[in-house]
Amino acid sequence: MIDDMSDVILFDIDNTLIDTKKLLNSYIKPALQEYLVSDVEHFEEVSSRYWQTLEKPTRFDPESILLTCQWLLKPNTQPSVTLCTPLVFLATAYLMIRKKP
Amino acid sequence: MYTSSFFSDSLFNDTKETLEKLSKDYRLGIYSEGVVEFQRRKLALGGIEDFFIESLIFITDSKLEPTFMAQLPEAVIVEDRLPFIEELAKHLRFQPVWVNRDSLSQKTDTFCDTIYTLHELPVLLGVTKKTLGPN
Repeated sequence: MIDDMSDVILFDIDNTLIDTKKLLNSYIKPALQEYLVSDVEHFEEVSSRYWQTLEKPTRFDPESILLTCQWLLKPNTQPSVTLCTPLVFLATAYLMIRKKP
Repeated sequence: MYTSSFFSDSLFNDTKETLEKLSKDYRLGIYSEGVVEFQRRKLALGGIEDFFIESLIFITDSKLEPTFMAQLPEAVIVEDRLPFIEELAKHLRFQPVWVNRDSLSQKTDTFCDTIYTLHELPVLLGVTKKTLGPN
């Protein structure tokens, strides 16, 4: 048993509170499939605009997000748990971008 | 179709119940790596944001960056990744707890306490004893 040294507990989010693998495979991936196939042309312009609104520019540029999302949708892609977190990040980014044309 | 319920449906089964229980005795916060906006969205759409105290939400793009770690209070830190756990264990201010969700392996770590579900956390922390105590 842990000694009562502090009354603060800090939690990690991905794979601690949220099942990120489930989020990716059961929900994000199907949604991505639905949108990505019909929306590739629109993606670059909108995503560029979106990324500029983020508080801190990320290391992921729109083209790499798109390529990653396309890779994710290939039938044999089986990302590890560790990779799920950045993939959810990228895929969610795509879906959010898609929702805000 | 993309909907906000993705996030609440993806919470682990033990998440809400454990947060509810612990929030009666502890101040709860977040120690997470990622883009602030996205991580906060996960908490909000997951329906668990209200369990956490605003001043105890720490999100960054590099969790082990020294100036970021210096901002953290003395705390128990629950984390799923061993590289982070092992680094946290070097600091006396932190008591890392490894949540090993890969229950098949039943692997433990010598640097810290190991649990396999969040349901084990209140027991590890002695919440029952604390709640029923004279104070």
